[in-house]
Amino acid sequence: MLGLGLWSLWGRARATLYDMKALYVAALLMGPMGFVAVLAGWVTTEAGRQPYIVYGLLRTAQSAAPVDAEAVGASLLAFIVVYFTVFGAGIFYLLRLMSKPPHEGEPDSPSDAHLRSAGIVPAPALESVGELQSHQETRR
Amino acid sequence: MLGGGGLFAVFPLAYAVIMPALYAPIIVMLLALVFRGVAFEFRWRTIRGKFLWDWAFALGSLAATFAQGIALGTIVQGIPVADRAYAGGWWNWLTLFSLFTGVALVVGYALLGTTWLILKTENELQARSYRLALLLGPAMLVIIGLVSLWTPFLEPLYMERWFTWPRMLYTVPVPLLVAGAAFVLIRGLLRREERTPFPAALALFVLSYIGIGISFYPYIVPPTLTISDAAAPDESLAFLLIGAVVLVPIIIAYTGYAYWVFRGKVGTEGYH
Repeated sequence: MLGLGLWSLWGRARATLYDMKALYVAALLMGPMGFVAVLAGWVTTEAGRQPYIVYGLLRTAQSAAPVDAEAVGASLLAFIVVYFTVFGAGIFYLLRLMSKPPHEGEPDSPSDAHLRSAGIVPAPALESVGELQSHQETRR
Repeated sequence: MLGGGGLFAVFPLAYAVIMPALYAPIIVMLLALVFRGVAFEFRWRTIRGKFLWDWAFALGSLAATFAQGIALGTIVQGIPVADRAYAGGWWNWLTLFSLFTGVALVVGYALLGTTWLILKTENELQARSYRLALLLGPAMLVIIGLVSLWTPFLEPLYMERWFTWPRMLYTVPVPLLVAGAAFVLIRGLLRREERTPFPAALALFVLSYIGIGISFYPYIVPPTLTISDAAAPDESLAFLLIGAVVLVPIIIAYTGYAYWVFRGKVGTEGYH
């Protein structure tokens, strides 16, 4: 992920950022990597500290709640079903959005979606760094 | 959410006992809230599937409320505790009483919702809200009455709290105020008033929670753990108090400001 960032910086410095097809393909393939990194971080901390839940003081087995194994199993199953449904729908909508290429003269709001400060506000398609400055005033 | 977090911080022992007792209803509530929350984001992204997310919102709200009501009923009916830990199974919450309190909360939230719509909408939707509220209001009052009569028989402690002299002098105002709020609610609905039904419904909720407080005091997990049994060490409480003194007024202020910004009728524009 760091390498991808450096690669794009290199492209920016040489002013070829917008012509580096390989970089875009790599960025696309790297898409799920943020998620993988988050999960890897969790596995490292949670597996790494076993058998303690408070390192050196309290063992995981001592701190377990008096909840039956079937209850924990059932809730785990329910979480898996719900997460797959919700994430599945989310990824479906995301991929559908990505499959529509942007075009010139696109309206600010892509659908009847609500607007908000940190939402999807498509900036004008920029060809070069020079255009960025001229467009700055018109951008919201 | 704030209740769970606050319980963990301020009454860790109560948290440790209540959470395993309520494991199933709380998991259901969390999963239902996932659908409720995500429905808002997804329903804009699809035309064909919009109705699915509308249903996800409605059923998510219904399930979360029902589970919350069951959770409340489970605490009221008493949680078995042995050696400072929960001593029941994972189906203990399922009783006729807890199912009834689940239904009760659904009716109560629906009443709050319809009276809120009366306040915020016009024309057709408002007329529909009046009709619904005129069904839900009396239903809510009957339910409050039934739960109030049922509760003292669950636990001798509650009976003593409500029906011993001279303690009754302190408890009698609660049912009297409930009768007052009920009167304002029903009269407001019949007269098609816009501003009185919602505060009256809110008052019914506040009074019901005060009623629970009267039944419980000084217990937090009836009939075994008292508030002082379950409280965190003084140092932790002092630390939390500073945080609460700063944060709670800020939360109240920005919530109040948000309601102020969106005051008045919704109109046809709508907002997210």
